[in-house]
Amino acid sequence: MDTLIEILRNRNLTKEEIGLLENSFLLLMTLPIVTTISGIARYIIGLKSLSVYAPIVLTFAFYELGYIEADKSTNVIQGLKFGLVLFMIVLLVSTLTYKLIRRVRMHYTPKATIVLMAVSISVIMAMCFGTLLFEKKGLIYLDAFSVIMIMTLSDQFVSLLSRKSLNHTLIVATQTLTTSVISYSIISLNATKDFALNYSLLLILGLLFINFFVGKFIGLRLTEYIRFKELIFRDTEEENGDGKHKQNKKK
Amino acid sequence: MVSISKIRKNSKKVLGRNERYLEYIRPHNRRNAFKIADDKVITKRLLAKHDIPVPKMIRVINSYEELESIDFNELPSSFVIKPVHGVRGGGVDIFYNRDSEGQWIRADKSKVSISRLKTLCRDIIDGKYSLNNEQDIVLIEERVKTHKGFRYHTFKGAPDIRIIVFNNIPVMAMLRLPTERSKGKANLDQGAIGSGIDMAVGKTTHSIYGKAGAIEKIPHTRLPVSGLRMPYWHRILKYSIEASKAAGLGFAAIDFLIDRDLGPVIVELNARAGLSIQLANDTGLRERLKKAGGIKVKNVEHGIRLSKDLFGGEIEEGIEAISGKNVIGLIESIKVFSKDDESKYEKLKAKIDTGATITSIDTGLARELGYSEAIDFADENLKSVPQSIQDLSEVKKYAKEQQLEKKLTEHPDIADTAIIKQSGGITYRILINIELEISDRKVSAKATVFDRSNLNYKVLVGSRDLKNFLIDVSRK
Repeated sequence: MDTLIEILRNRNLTKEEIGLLENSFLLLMTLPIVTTISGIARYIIGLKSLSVYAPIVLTFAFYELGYIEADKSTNVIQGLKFGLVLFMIVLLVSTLTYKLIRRVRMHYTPKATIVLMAVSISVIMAMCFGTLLFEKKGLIYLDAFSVIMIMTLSDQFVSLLSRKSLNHTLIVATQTLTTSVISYSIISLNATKDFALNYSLLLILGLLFINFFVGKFIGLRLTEYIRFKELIFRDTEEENGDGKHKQNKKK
Repeated sequence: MVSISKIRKNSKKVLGRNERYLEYIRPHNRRNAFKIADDKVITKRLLAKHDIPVPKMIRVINSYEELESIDFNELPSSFVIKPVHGVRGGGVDIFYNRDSEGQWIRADKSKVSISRLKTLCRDIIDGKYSLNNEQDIVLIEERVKTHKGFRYHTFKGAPDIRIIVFNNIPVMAMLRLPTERSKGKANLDQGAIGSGIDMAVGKTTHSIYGKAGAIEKIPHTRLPVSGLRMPYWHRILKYSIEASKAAGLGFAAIDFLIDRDLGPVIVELNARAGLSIQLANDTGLRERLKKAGGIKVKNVEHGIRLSKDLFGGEIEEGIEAISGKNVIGLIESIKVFSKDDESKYEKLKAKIDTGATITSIDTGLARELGYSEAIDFADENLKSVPQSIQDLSEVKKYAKEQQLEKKLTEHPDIADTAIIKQSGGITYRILINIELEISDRKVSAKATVFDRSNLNYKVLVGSRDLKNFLIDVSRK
């Protein structure tokens, strides 16, 4: 990146323009970083997610919410605070509304729309009440685009809820959130930003290497150790004492 | 504490999702095969073409227009609706009967009117249950009637048998029993029971209840889940190999239902076999796949034989395969066949006694089986033997003088004679030819006949007739 900037600087780019470029580069590079983390979360750890996009959408929503325009810095706490509150509202309201209208016989899209409307109203309400109660205007200044990004997850909840149990949906939602929070924490670190700017080539190669490793990884996912605990964490070759059902496969 | 090396060793036996996809699903299943497996109508047609039984198709509904043109009153009172591209049993609805108002009744007794049924069909067409919420097709087919063998073990719905076939060898199998919790559906996620199946004999072994872990008995009953025998096991294995071949699925999970009248029918082919089957069998799949991988399977029968030999779980099966002998216990349930009629037999518990040379049978039982004539004939001839002779050599001498053996063996049912020395004294007895079946193996035995009515077992099998068996004293 440095060499590139050096060349551009020679073409009479202002400091601001270079800053913009750097910022864009950072933002664009964070995308593969986030997807790499989602990949690790999915294939190595075994966390489920609502969709491939959900952790990315959520991470960037957090990022935008925590971004302070005035001094171009990131406030992780603020991002997480608003992000989590919004996520919870979306999750809760989607679930409740869906439960309410589940029995009504209607097509899927209108149903999802009704759920989405409830979410929209709730978010607006939360903004108003939040401002009134805490006398803080932070909520008013929330980046509308991020709010919408989080709200799109509502459809994914409803789609999952319509097919799976509430329990399952909540587990998946929590795991999506976990992945996003981890991704957000990592990309918000100044160290990550510095590294990305100063060692761009190394970063790209590193990400390539990690993704090849994850892509070819055929070992058990961490969560699978829990899923198959009865098979893995047992001491004896025979099981259940009587050994009657045991396979005869000692080599 | 379990040692780390043990954990590493055990974890190598288990197949995870990563390896399943990269090493098995992708390399072994042709792209075309996914299309077949993901479309239940194509699956049906293909299997029917290969003479593999499938449930009968009643109707296919492709679109809203078609849905409106159907007269639902023409449907039978019992049927199943399914999304053609459905995944994990979503959107499947089973109707058992129809009430007087024309509403269909589900397993949980909830009722479905025609307009509700149409909405269910619309949901399916809208893609609510398909892989990527794409537009789907409704499939209406005949309901498979539960096989009698499962009548007491299942709640409402028919249990389904899943076979995982890899490289034309059935490697693992599972029976899924619908429960009250699963609302009559054979779906583990919804709370059905999953039982591992011994590949050699088709009997259930270890079982899990939904996601709750191991169970021994069917909930709310005293019925044990293990030891349940799959009807038509050989045919199931055969069809599973044939289906995987026909569809071009090198690695597949094939789902069967057993119909009361038709026998095994294939309801679904899956290119992405679920991994819970490992928990039901209490065994890792990876180890079995590795074993099955390198083998060149010549034909369907070869595949079945390999499956039974390699993955027929129980230890004794292994010993039997090596020694060619069946393993039996000290007390064994046997069949004793009638003299004249092969189809008539007496089933009873017999004492297996290696201390005795000769098999013996109770007089009363022998008479029931049609040996009365021979017994009376012998009694007639032996009446003259004086009871006073209590010395072995003297009995021998007497028998020789009287030519007892020659006289007695003239009767076609009497094979031989023997002098038996017991605590009660020495007796001269006849041996009759008798057919036994011990542990599914026919044995032509020669048995002495005497009154065992005051003994615990009416038949005692002696060492002379136990050549083809190994005796496990701990077996009950």
